[in-house]
Amino acid sequence: MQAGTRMRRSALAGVVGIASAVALVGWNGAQAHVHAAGATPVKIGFANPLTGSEASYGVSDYNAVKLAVNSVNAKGGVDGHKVQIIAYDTKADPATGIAGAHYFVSQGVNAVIGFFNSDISIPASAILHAAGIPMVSAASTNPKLTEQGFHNVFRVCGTDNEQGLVEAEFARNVLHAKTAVVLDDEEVYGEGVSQFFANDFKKLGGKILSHQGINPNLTDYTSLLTQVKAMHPDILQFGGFDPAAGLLVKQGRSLGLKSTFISDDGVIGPAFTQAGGRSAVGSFLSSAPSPQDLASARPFVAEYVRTYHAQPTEFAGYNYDALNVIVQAIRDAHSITPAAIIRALAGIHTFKGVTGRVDFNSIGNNTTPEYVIYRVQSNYSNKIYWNPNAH
Amino acid sequence: MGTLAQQLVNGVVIGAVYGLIALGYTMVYGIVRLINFAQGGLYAAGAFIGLEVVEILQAHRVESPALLILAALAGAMIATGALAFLVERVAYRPLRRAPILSALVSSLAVLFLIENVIQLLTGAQPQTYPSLLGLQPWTLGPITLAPSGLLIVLVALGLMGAMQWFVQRTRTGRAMRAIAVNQEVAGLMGVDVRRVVALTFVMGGALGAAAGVLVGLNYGTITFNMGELAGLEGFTAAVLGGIGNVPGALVGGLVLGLLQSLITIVLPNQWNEAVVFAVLIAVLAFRPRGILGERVAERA
Repeated sequence: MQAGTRMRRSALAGVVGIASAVALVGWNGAQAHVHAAGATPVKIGFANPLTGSEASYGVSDYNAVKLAVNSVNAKGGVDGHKVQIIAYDTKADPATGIAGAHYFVSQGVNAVIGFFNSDISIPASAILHAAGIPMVSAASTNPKLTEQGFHNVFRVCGTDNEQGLVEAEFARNVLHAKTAVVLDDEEVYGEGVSQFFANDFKKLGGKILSHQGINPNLTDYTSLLTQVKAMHPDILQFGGFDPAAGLLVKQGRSLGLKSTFISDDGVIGPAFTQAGGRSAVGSFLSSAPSPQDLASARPFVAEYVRTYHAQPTEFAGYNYDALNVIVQAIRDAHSITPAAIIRALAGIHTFKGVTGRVDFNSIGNNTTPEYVIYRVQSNYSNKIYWNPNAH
Repeated sequence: MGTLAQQLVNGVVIGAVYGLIALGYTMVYGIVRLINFAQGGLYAAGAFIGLEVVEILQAHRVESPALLILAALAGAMIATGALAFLVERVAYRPLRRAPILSALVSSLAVLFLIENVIQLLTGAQPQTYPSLLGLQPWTLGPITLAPSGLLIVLVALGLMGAMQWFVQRTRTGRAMRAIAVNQEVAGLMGVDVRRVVALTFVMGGALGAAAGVLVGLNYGTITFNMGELAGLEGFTAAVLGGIGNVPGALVGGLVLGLLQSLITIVLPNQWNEAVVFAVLIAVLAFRPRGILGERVAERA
């Protein structure tokens, strides 16, 4: 009832109404509403692509957050408050996703985890900033997100400049590559990683022969790849997501392109090897270590597999940590008001998460996440090939 | 020079795909003067139905690639033809006397309806075609060509020839041309207008399905929304060649494909679509009815 009154009062609710109603059917509907006797629940907004082409990541993230919530609530909640998740499906679509921020404001959430895609997280963070609601990002890696001077924005995962740098160091110092051609999908995330790779590759003494954009919805890249082949680069770096990456390696190899293929954690899902087939084998992908490869995440992975009979995807561990970081902040603050949570989040230091330590710096970035280079094996699994942090 | 030759090959292959999709637009437009935007949806439906046929046959231990490809093409063309028949009955026939804009919007609705049904049935993840023609492309000096690429070009040429023959040389083809000139009069002269119009849609659907299956075979990856962009490119090819003109569809497709390929030699890829569509505007400014001009009927 209370939510209903708020909806009517908010001018934006009308605009958001249809999108959120559609987005919430089936997701929120299935969510058991936990109300502890007496204490008000802590409402955490969770926004991810739960349907659409990036849903495999979003659903896994949602599962991970639910695991964390269940374990907190099983121990009586946080300071007597049960945790309640309000899920929102962004469909990985900016317009739909940004409407989610207004929806969370109208629902009076205490904190938000989201929004997966950088091009949604950045505008959404401005709306949450105006409303004074803390936002912890567990997958949006574009540096701009935390560079807007918003005191309410935090990020447990790494950033694209760190990722681009690891790829460049690997290409120059491990593969001893001299030349590279860079392609990106002209989206905030892909273009970001590619731009940082290109800058760092040049700084390390390499030469960028060409940097071009592609339309990720096309199926034929043969013309572009024919031009790439004629430049004979040592490296073909691509910033973007897996279906396009798979088509690029497949068509490139069949044209006789010999360059080593390097890409990012948008490509680490199974769609890359499905589309690329044998041509994907031997590709190098930069990513934070997946939960399965982290000793600290073993209990989390085991519990996840037991509960969902599936493996968690790349960002699931970060989402699990994001929820627990918020819970820790509430404990530190002895308050569930958004303003108090923001102050406590800024003080989070040496928090032990399943993905490693969480230390927020002055702009809200986690200073400890580490990137590694995976290699696609001949059985289509990914194996850590180079870890710049292991000495 | 090797690069230029390879770009010509690339352009012909992708152009043949555009040409096949354009044929579907041109058939329907040439006869009923409707730009059937559902064509992109029928193309995607054909790709998914073809994959289903291949998977069912492979489950029954059919292994001959030639047989699988033929079955996928035939199955997809028949089933998508039937789907197009249904679409015509439900979404166009009731609008036959309505302003043409109503039918146009209806065709857009059908495109999104088909897309969403595919997504509901198969999920949003891209689906993978088995590589039936072998992974190894042929190489001739600096040029490489996938066997499936050649298949696309041959099928496109074959279907274009068949359509041209059908429209110009058969009794039903003559009925189609008569309807294109004047539906009322054709009806008065004893042509079964409803039946012939329905057949036109069925043929358009079957052509789209053939393109969908061939794209699946050649590129290996199909997505539920593949019809949006491809439909737009096919429509552009049809307009470029002269919409309603059967050989024009293939000519338009090849011009568009070659243009896209050759532009990548001189300009960064992100300029590609901007330049292609600028050329389209220029061509239409000088030849408003496309490169080959006239509609089906005017050739008679």
